[in-house]
Amino acid sequence: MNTILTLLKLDIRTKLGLNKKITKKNILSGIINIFFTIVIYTIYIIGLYFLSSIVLNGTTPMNYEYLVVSTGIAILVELLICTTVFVKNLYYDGENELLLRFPVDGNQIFAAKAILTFITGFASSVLLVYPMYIIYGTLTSAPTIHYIVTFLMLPLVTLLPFSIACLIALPVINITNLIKNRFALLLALMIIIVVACFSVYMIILKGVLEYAQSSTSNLFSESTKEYVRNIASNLVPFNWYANVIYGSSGLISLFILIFVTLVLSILAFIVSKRTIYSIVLKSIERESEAMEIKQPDKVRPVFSALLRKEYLMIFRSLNYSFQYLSMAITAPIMVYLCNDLASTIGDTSVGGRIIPGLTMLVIIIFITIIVSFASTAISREGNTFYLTKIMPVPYKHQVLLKLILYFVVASASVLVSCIVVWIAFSGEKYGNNVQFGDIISIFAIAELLIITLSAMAIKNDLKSPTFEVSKNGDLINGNKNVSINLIIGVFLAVIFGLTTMIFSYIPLTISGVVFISSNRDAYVLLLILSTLFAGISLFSLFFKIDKNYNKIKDN
Amino acid sequence: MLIIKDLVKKYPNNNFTSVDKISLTLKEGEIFGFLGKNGAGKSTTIKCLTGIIPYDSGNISICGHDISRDSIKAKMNMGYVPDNHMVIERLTGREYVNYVADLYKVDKMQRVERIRYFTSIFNLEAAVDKQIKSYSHGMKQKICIMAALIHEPKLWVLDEPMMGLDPQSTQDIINYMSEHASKGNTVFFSSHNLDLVKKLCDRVGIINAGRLEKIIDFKEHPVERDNLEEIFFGISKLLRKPV
Repeated sequence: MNTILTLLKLDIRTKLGLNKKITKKNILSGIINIFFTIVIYTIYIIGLYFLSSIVLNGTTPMNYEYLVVSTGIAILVELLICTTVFVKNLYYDGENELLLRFPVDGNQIFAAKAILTFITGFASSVLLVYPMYIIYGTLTSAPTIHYIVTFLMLPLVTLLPFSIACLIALPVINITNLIKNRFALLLALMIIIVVACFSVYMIILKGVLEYAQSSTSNLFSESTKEYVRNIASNLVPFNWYANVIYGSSGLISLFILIFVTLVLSILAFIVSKRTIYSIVLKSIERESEAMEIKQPDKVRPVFSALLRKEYLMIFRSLNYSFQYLSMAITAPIMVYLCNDLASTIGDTSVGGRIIPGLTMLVIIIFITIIVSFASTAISREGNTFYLTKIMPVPYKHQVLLKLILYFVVASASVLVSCIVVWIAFSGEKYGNNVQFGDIISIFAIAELLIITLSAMAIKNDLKSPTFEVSKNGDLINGNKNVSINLIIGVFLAVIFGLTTMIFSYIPLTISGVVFISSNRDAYVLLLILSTLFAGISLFSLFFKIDKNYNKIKDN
Repeated sequence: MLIIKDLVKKYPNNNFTSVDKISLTLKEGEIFGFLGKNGAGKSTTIKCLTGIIPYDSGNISICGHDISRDSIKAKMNMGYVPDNHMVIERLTGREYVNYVADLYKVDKMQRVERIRYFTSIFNLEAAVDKQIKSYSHGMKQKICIMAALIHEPKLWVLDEPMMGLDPQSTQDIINYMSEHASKGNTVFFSSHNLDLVKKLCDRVGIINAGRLEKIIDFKEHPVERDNLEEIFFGISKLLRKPV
């Protein structure tokens, strides 16, 4: 037992970063992390309250259905969290190899990891699920007992997905290993998930906006409500939880729930006891697996060799290829959805008039995210950075090539986004507010900003790269440059987007002289500014590049 | 082939001058061993002459090209094997060597022939098409060497090349170092292995506290080959003084 507790303490200290040295920098980053966590959590609670009030406050509220669906979503999220934590801790933790060298057996490692997974699951239940029940209680004026019962239910809400996670960990690991090297498939899946999440979010947001604007107070039609009711009453095992909280056949449901959870837990214990050692060993044995690629020796020009190497480095890492491509592919869809959303705000002409500005805003935000990957362009060379110094290729060519790498993908994304906006929003329906000139101007400004932001990102990385890479060659942490470039990019997006939106309504007049009277004038101003920014950032990147590059110290 | 003149390198925030006015001339066809205890300045000198780090003063010329002013031409004539055998692990051995060959503009016939030759002498036929991340320490070192030699450099620089290698790999590399020098090229390597240096080198340089204390020519003074340990330990005892 002592060993398990020691392992648990070790794990908790590592996960919470308590082993780190207390430095001013660590304290500051801790404070910033806490601040952002509080902000995101507050947004979650407010959003949850708003959505819950729509469901629970209508003319025919769906209290029971709310409980079933919210508990269902919560348990699925818990299942995802527990499975991920399990797989990560048991299979991908490099520590296991180290632990096995000590007098610690597989079951003790498993017990420590299982307790940690349960604690993580329970903590997420308290933080994510319990607020749902509290909000439910507040909106339905539930008695005090509701808050006590729902709190007591939390271990059950955690235990069921925890047990299932124990059972499915091995199949998940096997499937992961099976598709681990099929990058194209995984990448496509991940991008589809991101696009789907964004789309669902925007569709819900659009629904909420339409609901807020309409005079009727019901979000769902009667037929939809009937459909949801039917589903909810048959949604086993989630309706058992709802029954306990709602009070209908509560005791029977509680017994069934405890029985099922117990059976699953015992089953999980037996299965895990039998499989844990092989899981831990498998992770150690699989480490050296690698792809075999037979290709003939082929001569390539220097530029093409460098470009190919960059692409191979990106596309042989799932993490890098996702960072490189996901936002570029998502951008056109998001530009469409945002503009679609904007067109539902106010009357058609008002909604239509902000489309060019909104397109500019969203495109620049996505450019910022896409080229933020350039903030680690030098750092990603990792342990092989010395190669860039010894190769007989001028530094400016090497850096230029990296710039082109990000320019190509971001430009393609912007081009598709512009075409989408032109096709979808240029007609009569949107008051002819999107003209060909708008599209060309947005495209040109966006291209110049791609150059600006990429050059700036690479320059920042060149000034202070971090070559710390993990075992698989991926950079361990994005350096501070990523955050700096994101902040600057979002700032530019807001300024450029708002400028376009505002001047489509209000002309800029100083002492009676009209300086900007339309979108067209705004575009000219923004084109001048973005050309200036691009020029300055390129100059800053390439001026004295040999001297600056030489200053970089490798590991 | 390689001329180092009054080379000085001092790292920022360091009280010591890591390389203190080193001057050295390497001839064609010779194997030069660079000896010194840990922290003596061997790797710093090598990093300066390969262009990895800038230096404060002095000149380094490779085949008549100054490494700081005419770096591309200088680098074209040099092959480098680092002490940490770091290579791009996501690539296969063949992809990596071809990538380096492209950078040095090696034509197809030569590269095909050299890749075939090196994979054969280094016993890498079964591994060359696998990703480098699956390689052992010795295999990575051999791939590093293949990449460094793919353009048949006039100057081959190796930083502690035998570290962690098995006897067979060590012998393979020793053999190739002799073969490379016999073609009129120069081999410059740092090492802690005095026996190896005695056996392999035409000349050795002993560096201590950043200063090149002694250069021994084994052809001119064959007795010193037998007394190398004595000379080395005598020099290494000299204390380093802060600047």
